[in-house]
Amino acid sequence: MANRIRILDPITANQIAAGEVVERPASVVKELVENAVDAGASRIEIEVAGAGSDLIRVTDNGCGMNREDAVLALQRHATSKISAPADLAKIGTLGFRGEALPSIASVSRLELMTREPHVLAGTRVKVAGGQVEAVEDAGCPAGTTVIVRDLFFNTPARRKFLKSDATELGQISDLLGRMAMAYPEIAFKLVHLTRVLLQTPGSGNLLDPVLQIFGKELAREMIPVKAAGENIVVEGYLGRPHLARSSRNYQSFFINGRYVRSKVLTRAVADGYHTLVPSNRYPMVVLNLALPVNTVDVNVHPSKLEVRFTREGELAAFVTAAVRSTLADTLLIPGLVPEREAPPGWDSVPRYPGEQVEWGLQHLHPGGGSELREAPAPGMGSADQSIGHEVRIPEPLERSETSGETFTFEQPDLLPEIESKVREPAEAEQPESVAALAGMRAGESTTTESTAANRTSKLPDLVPLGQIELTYIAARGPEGLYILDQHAAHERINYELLWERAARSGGETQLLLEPLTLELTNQELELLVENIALFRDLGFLLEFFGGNTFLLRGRPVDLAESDVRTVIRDLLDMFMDGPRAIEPRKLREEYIYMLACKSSIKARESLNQAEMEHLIWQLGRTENPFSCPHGRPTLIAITSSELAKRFQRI
Amino acid sequence: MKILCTRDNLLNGVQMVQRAVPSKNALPILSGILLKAQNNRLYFTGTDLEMGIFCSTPVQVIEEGSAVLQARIFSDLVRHLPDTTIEMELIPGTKTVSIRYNPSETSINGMDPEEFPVIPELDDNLTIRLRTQIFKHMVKQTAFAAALDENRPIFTGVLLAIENSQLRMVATDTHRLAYKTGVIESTFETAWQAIVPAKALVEVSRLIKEEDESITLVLTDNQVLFRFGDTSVVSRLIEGQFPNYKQVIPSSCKTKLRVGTKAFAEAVERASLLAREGSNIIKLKIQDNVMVITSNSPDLGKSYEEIDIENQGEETQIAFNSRYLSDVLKVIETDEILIELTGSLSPGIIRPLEAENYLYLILPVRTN
Repeated sequence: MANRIRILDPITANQIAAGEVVERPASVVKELVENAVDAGASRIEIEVAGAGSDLIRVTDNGCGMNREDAVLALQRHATSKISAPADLAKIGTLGFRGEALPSIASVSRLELMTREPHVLAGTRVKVAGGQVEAVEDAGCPAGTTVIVRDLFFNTPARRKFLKSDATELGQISDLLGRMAMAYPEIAFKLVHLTRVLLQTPGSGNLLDPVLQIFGKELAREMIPVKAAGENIVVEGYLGRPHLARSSRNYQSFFINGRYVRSKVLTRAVADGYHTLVPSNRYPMVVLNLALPVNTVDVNVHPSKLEVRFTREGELAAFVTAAVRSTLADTLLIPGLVPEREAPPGWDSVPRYPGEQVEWGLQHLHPGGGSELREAPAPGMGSADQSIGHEVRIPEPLERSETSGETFTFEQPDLLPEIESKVREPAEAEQPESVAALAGMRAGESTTTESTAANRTSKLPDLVPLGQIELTYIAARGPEGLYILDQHAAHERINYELLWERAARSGGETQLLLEPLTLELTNQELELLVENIALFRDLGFLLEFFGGNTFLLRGRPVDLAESDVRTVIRDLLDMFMDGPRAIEPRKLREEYIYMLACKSSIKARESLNQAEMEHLIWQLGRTENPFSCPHGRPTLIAITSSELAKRFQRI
Repeated sequence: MKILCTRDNLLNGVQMVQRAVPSKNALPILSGILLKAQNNRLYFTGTDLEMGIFCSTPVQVIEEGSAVLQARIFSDLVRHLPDTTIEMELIPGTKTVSIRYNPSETSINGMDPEEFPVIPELDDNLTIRLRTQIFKHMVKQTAFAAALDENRPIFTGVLLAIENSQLRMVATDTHRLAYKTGVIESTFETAWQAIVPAKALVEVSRLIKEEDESITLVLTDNQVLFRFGDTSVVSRLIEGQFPNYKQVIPSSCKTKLRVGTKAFAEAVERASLLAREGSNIIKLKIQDNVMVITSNSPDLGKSYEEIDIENQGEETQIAFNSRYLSDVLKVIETDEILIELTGSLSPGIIRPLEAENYLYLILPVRTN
């Protein structure tokens, strides 16, 4: 009987590997661009046709390869990036598996042209379906150009699963946007047919790609963050809380230049924005993290999208602190990023919204031509709303026949100006926080131990004018009209006050002579039994009585007896759907929310002038005056210029 | 109805019964005072249905009858009437009462006396009598300990119990309990108890005049009547089972100390000023012959008080809500008190020195 098991031939093996690594045109672009980055390129141009199925051309000005390497690179597990198992523990390059190029070559017609700068002759290698067809001298610029044609021509099944051109192109564009943010020092250019979809100057300033990708309206509402600690540098941009979206797609994390998805980081950012955005929304952020390579494990999955951190708790705490202190020092009033004159040339910069898919559809729409909807306007609330603000895409900035030729990016020289315009609002309006901000930038965390009373106000000078519907307070301020939600504002004040108190004492229990009985449902009962110690820490002294009954033998000193029953039930309800073991911090937080809410001014309560003034005074002295503990805004602004516009004065 | 009377006749009656007139009520008739002229007396009645107050004053009745007048207007008018003979007459066929004080006249539109709730007469078969001074003292030392919060109604009342020819009053809001016994004049062998709203007892105490020597309590299943001088107060009883107070009072203690009431009260007051907002927590540290009282409010400051004591037991410490301490120290009349403690989680007991008829129990605050 013949042996049934045999070693697969290399082409089959590569096609299998391709299944993992090369899913779609965007994955090809990713692998090739990452190679270009690892080759030390300062310029990378990507040209695609047919949404990448027909043609992908990636040209870089990196180190290039000699002929032997060029041939070897097309073999499986051939890589220059690591050489021994130990290297896996300290991966500093994007690629390392040595699988990408042969995998791509096995499912396409691939042409590789490469030349080392100091060598005169370059090399051209042609491969089709994994079979090397030609290796020859060729004249080409220094660096490497990879041309991938007819992707998946020999794997029709895979080809069938490709999505619409718009989607595939959207993915490519999305990917390059992220690469551009990860490597602001590299000039990227993405061309589809003859249209420039993305172009960054490679200035090293993260603001440039952010501006390109999010557009000026959003970029203006992004707050720069930078913090350095021992073995860690965090740098990037934080979207103002009101820009928060219902999906995480607007969060980009880069670890040492690699785009990653990380629950740890998503959570750390959420903690930093805690109470500033509602729990079901995700703030927009772009964060570049520089970490020692040996603390990050990228060898988790072939796509390298997931990573593991060795000291993830510390990392998360650092990111949270950086986010929190940056936000704490910023004036976060929705509506209060004043319209400013765009510097000349802004509108002529090609710019693409974060939602590339939408763009793609627009692009394919007959007659849609070169017009494009801008990304959702800030302050409009819903992520899906777009303003009717049409922007013209200029003609490609330069000739598009780029094959094999050196290229230059023509980028208007306006970046310093843009930077100052974007940063100006936050700093100019808030002189007192500049010092704190500067301290933060120097890598210190700003932990002020001051109590509410001796803090300086974080709000502008507001003079209350009166109440609207006995629910909102209208106030006059430096930038125009401000409207406060009196309940939300008071909740924020009480919430911070109670936290401060809880931090110092808490859990004190007034014992009761005659216990209060508490009848619970089975579900409530189980949850309470499981977490009885946590309730005890809050000051609820509970004792199981039998059946469905609990006896309350002591209540928190701060809680009125009449509220005890409802508070326990509400707390249990809150956690009914979650895991059985309640997280102590969450429980305490919900409890404090409840106390804060109970002791706060309600809507439809009449306030006199002095009360309104005092409320504003107190709010200004909270850590986070801009949102209530549940993340809803406490105040909004209608700027003078907006008023002027409405009255058609300008 | 037609009578002749003086301003003082009216003023006394109006001021008495007005205490029972609710300040706001959905039932308009309750905002009135019922006036009834009969047997050469004028009877006044005010009620909020929880409690009713009656009193009477001798007047010259020309024609018997009754009327209901708005309490607020009538009492304000009476207060400003001249000191002369006053004639009050219900204009026949109307509800209007004409009040004449020569040569002037004020007419007040009244309400229908038929609509005024009838407060049932109580059988006199279960009555006790005691000295008003004792009664007032008992109320003063217990009623404050009842709960204001209507959440658990029985705790808004004071337990009145007759046992061994003694009247006992017990009140608790579940954080502290006050217990007082008093001698009754009539011998009374039946054991009886009821929960009377603290508010009613406080009202009765307030209405008792210097010259009223004794007070009679008429007891029924759901009401209690207090009769003193020309005045009667009837109150509904609170239904429910009062907790077994005897069971919660510890019979022994590990720390027993003697301290001057005034010095202790003042130290507690000062310490409570700097107790953490919302909690009123002060800490007592009982040492050999010294008690240290501390409080600490992170926002306001802190307090350290040291007073001399005579300790006959173990050293200990305990935390209390200062309000529950200062409440009792205001009503104790002896110069010295005894404090009995057993560790920091058991109730503390305060008694006036050498006065067995009063006891105040206070539950501690468990601190971390």
